[in-house]
Amino acid sequence: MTNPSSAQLDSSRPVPHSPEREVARVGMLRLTLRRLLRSPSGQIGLVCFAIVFCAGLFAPILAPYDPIEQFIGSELQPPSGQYWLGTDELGRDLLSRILYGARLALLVGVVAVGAGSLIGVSLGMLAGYLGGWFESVTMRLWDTLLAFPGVLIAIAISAMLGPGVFNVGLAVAIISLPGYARLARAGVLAEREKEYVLAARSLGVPVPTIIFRHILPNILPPILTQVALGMASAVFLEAGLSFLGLGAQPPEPSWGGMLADSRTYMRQAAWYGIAPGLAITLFLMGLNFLADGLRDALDPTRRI
Amino acid sequence: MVAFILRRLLQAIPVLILSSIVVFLIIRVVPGDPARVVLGLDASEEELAAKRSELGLDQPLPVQYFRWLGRVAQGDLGNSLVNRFPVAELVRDKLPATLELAIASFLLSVLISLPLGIFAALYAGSWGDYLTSVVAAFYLGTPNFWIGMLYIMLFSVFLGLLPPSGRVAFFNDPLLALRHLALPALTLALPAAMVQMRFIRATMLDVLGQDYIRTARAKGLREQTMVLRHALRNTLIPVVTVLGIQFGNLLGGAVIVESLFAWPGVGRMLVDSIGNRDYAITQAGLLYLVGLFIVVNLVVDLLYGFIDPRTRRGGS
Repeated sequence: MTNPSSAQLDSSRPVPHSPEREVARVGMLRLTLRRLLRSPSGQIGLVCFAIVFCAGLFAPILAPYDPIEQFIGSELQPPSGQYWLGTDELGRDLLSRILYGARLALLVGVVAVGAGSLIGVSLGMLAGYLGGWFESVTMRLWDTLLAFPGVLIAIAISAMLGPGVFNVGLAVAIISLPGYARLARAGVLAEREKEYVLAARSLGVPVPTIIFRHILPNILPPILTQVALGMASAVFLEAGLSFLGLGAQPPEPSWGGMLADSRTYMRQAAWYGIAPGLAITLFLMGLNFLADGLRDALDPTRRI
Repeated sequence: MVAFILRRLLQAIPVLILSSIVVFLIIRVVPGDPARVVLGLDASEEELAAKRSELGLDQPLPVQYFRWLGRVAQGDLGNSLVNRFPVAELVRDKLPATLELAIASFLLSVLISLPLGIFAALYAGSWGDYLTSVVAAFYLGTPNFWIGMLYIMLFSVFLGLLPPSGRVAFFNDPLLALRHLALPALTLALPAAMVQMRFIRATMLDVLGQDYIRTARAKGLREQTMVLRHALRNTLIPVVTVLGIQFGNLLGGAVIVESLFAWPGVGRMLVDSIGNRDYAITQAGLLYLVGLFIVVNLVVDLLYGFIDPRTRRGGS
């Protein structure tokens, strides 16, 4: 924690601007967040993410109707005062379905990224710290996983476990494991011989404590970028699999599923496919901008 | 060079073995009994047991795996559980369509990304560079199946210029074939082109900052010669790897795009088979696509070793 009085003292003095000094003063994580909030990409990304997050969180309050309630006689209505984004072929309100769809996208993103990063980072750090056969075996496994196109792994897992949101999350988590593991391993390899680690080791600090308490905070920032990108790929795959009928099952509102349903009605109801597509784009672009902003925030030399 | 090729081929073996195990397991771990899928709901226990024995399902898993691998090596992928057609023939019928789409999209993506990437690097910081960044951000943040739907709406529904779905064999009617190919190829190519463009731009910027480029400039070499002969050649070395990965990704991406445009390829067959619970076809489709992906990666790595002799050295 930064002491407010010392911060005030610092700001009143003419301190020469040096990144190392700044890092030492506020800590890498907080500095990254501060830079993120200053960068245009980070701001756009955070706003887009916040919109989708709030839409999902407050869907029951914001949605004008129940997302699965069918209004007989109101099928394929264009946008109007009553139905802001129109209705689908079963007379369900599209706005309500998109708001609830945000929940699903967030859920898959959080489950996939949570599971993927937790397992991937842990295994990657252990591999980097312990080395030996454990490192060889896990690294070969990641290489093999990377040899498959992500979409095909997701389809194979859906074929094995059956369609459904949870299985999509699981598939995305498995696909994302190598990315986290390799990043964490590289970070640990760079840190493991540094003085603070050697000091902790010579004091007899247990290995898990060294890895997770001492090294992890120092290698966390690049992993955060990967988390943003991982969430984008989770949202993309969920939408794609739902589009193919392998993700969320009807009547559950999912953006990809809504796009798939709208294909049949392109001539009569062109607006039907626009709103869910825009929702996915908003979220994906937001996450990509967030990742860009994080990358810039972590590496001040990347300015071009 | 021979040692490098052998080493790379040996490295591909664990990947091939693991992928074959995953593909094999799909048909074994799916809920439900494949014998019942073949015989239907009113089959008796004796009939089911006989079928299981005929399909080899009563054997231990490793035995089943090696038997299956032996059959696959001979080109026998079994019969469709739904219409009893030999699966190998079905896949062979669909493969040209998938390859046609992937190759067309790949060529299109290179044609778009190479000039744009070079332009963006040479004029880094200009409005043109920013414009390409914005377009790239849009395409990278937008699912290709939605972009495909927008193309269908614009070019087929409103303008009536291009057919929204289906495929015509190239040798039957080349012009009609190209008209059918245009939208799916464009849908797959543009996002790939944006990834490649960004990579080409970054690599070219890196190369343009090197000492030998400064030397070339200092000795008064024409800008055009410097870019084409010195910078571009060195840019292309890492770009080849990315292009290879992109080609593999196009094969994966084709699964969704083929379904959207009713393109009769392996990807669409794969998705339909999951819907029909025809696991023999699912297995074969995955086997072909993953196999193709691995082969493409292998070829790219070998090509890379050929282009850049430094990568041939050092095994570990």
